[in-house]
Amino acid sequence: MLDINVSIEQQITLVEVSGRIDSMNAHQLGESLSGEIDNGHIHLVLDLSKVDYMSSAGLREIVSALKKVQGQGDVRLAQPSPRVREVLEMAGLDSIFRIFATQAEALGSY
Amino acid sequence: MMSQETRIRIPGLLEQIAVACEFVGNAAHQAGLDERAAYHCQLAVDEACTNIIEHGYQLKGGDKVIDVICQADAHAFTIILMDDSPAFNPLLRPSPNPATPLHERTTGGWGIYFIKQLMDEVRYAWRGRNQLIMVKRRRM
Repeated sequence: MLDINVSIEQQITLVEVSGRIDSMNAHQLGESLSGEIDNGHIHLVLDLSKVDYMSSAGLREIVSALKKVQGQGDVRLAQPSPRVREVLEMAGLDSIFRIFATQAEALGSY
Repeated sequence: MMSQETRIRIPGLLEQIAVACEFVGNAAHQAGLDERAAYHCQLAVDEACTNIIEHGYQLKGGDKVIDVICQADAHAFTIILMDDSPAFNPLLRPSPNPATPLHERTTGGWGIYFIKQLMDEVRYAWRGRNQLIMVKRRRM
């Protein structure tokens, strides 16, 4: 099960995800992110604190979203769980995404 | 420790991968692997099954299967995946480089790289079917 909640916090788009992100449902995250970006919401915070599992299918979607806003906006990550951080590091994405320890820090970074 | 073997057969569909992952997670726990090692095994199986279903079965694997076999002995926990897609050794694919900058990144290819990182040993064999053998050694 994957839950995605989107809210706007002072012109920042906060995307809170919970559950398991795998090849079965990663496209839902991708569609949600690209829907926001297509609507001009290009400053995003993706809160991954409640994601307990993410395969490379999930990484593919967040990289696509970052590429889409590149040069204009950003996709910043908030409090990835240790398991998610491990896959981010394995793919070298910890040096490509800006990652924050808390949601407030990520929102305040814009 | 006596060698133990358990197996499950899943249809070649993306929605069945979670079933294989749960099966492998339970077998890994039962074999005494710690939480992190068991998670690595689940993720490796997820990535391998995704590749089989998306590329081998071209997302049309409803009438095809993946066999998942878990073997545990005193030294290692071994997962064998067998499928009936055309013979293909995924280990021969060039690995993506984690140092690649964003603008040069292509979207695919990370699954097999993850498997190689997560497991201690990965082998491919063709015995009338594709066989991917993934080994997690016990930490002494």
